[in-house]
Amino acid sequence: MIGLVTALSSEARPLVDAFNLKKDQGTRRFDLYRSDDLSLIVSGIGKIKSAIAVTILCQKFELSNLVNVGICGSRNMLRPVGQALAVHKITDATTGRDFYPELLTDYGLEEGALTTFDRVVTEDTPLEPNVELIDMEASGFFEAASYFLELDRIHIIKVVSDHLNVNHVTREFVAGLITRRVDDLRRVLTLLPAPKAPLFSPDELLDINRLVAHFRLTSTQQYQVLDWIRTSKVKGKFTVSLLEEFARTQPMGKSATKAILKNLHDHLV
Amino acid sequence: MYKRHFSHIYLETEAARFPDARSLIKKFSNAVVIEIDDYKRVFNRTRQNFQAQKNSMKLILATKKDRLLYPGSDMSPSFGHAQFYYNTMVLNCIYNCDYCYLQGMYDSANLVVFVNSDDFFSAVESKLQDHPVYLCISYDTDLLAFENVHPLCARWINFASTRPDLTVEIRTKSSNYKAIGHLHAVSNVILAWTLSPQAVTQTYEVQTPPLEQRLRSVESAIADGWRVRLCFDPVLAVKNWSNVYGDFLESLRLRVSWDKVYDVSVGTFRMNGGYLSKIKSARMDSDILYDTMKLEDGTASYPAPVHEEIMAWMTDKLRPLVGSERLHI
Ligand code: SF4
Repeated sequence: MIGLVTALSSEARPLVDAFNLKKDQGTRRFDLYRSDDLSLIVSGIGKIKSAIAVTILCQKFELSNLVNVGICGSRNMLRPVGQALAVHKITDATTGRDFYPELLTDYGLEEGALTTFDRVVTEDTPLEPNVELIDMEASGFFEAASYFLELDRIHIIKVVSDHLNVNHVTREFVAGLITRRVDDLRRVLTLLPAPKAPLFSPDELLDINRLVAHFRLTSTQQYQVLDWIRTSKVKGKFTVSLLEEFARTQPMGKSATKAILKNLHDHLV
Repeated sequence: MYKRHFSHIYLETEAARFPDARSLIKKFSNAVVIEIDDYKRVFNRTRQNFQAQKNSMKLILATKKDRLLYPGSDMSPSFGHAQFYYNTMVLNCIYNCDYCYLQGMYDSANLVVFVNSDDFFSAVESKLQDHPVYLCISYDTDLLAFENVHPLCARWINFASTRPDLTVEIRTKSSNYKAIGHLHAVSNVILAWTLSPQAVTQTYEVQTPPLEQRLRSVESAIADGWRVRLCFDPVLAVKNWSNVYGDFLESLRLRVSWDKVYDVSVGTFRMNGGYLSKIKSARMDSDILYDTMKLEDGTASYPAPVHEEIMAWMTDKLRPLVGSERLHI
């Protein structure tokens, strides 16, 4: 499942509609929506809330990717309002820490560097010369997300909403901006890294656990057996029937267990 | 679907003033340049996916202030040289061999190029004041493969040509001899090609040129008068290894001018045990990483009987071709 995080309901609404997401009753403080393969949480404004929302989403679902979608301001007038961007650098304005989202896949979007502020930035706010794109969530989102996922599975897509004059940025305006970028986002979602394929099928895992329990192994022996099984699987030798054969024997005492383990080792590795 | 390699260049603020940085940025003029304070903040990030990054490697331009010259490691053959050193002007490699320890040593597959190259040359120069130096320059990378991007091999060859006390080894799996083919052979530079059977190359030496192309480079280098070392290292205990390596050595026996080969080295798979565990926890797509290994003094390698059998077998095959003197095991 892919997890989307937006700050505002006006950012979420067009995505909920476009991806046909249903409200999930699971959380009290955050609005959560989902389908079979997509979940969306509305964090509220600010990096702490974004980090909490990421944590909730990651604890609730097995996520393959996390995407922060939202609006951002641009100090650069050459970036048109409505432009969608992939973020390649985030600076936290308060701590000065930098984060570097991976951009391995070509999403067909422009890119930019973003600074996350703790307060609203306007035309009058004094800014460092290198500040270009501005938001209030990305650093918190990214830092929290990187506790749960590898960096190539964390993505930040922003849509330019203003050039630091926020008067016109109403809910309807934001919803309109995101709506016009739904196709871009749909494309991005299809290009995200696939979920990692597990080495063992659920049935194989059940059999493995049954075998390990059957022999009443010490934790070191268990670790060893699991390592052999993993090796055997990678080498394409592993079959469940092999395990079943071993599970038929009933070890009597330590030396019998040792002999069976040796035999198992020779068959697996 | 992946962005092309070096689509992004992370540029350390300190590195920007060096000519090498400027020329590399010019070479990849379409790359997005991202300013960074310190390369380690990008390169050493936790939770990078090394194998995913191999699909779209980025370039990191940085400066290296210390450890410009390392004493040789126990895991590398020193070819009888007491003063054995290596340096790392580039971290990581454009190839992606399954058995490469770099996957375990680094968190990132991105290439770091240290652009303060003069400092590396000065470090060797000052060591030469004390004693002769045997230097491997293509250590945590494959420099000749990268020569078209960044011509460091040519610079070292020129440097060595006026310093007889320096011996430079350039180890490669590339077929890029043409990148330095315009230079005159220098007697204290050894061009070392790692060769493996084509089946092994194809399966486990991902992105490297086929054996045939490497052999053509070897032949050209020998014909031009270079000292050429052939490295059968690592020999892998693949299924039917003696047949696979037997056919391979037989084809080389007929093909290579053995009398003109400077020397030959042989070794079997080995790797720092911690690196191997890290690699195994990240990837389950390469059977050779899962071969039975023994762990001794922190090094994972084939159990003694396997290692000894392979080494004895390889020695038997190679000794008639190069003699014992030129065979390093
Ligand atoms: S050529 Fe050498 S450095 Fe490059 S990936 Fe292969 S083993 Fe590693």
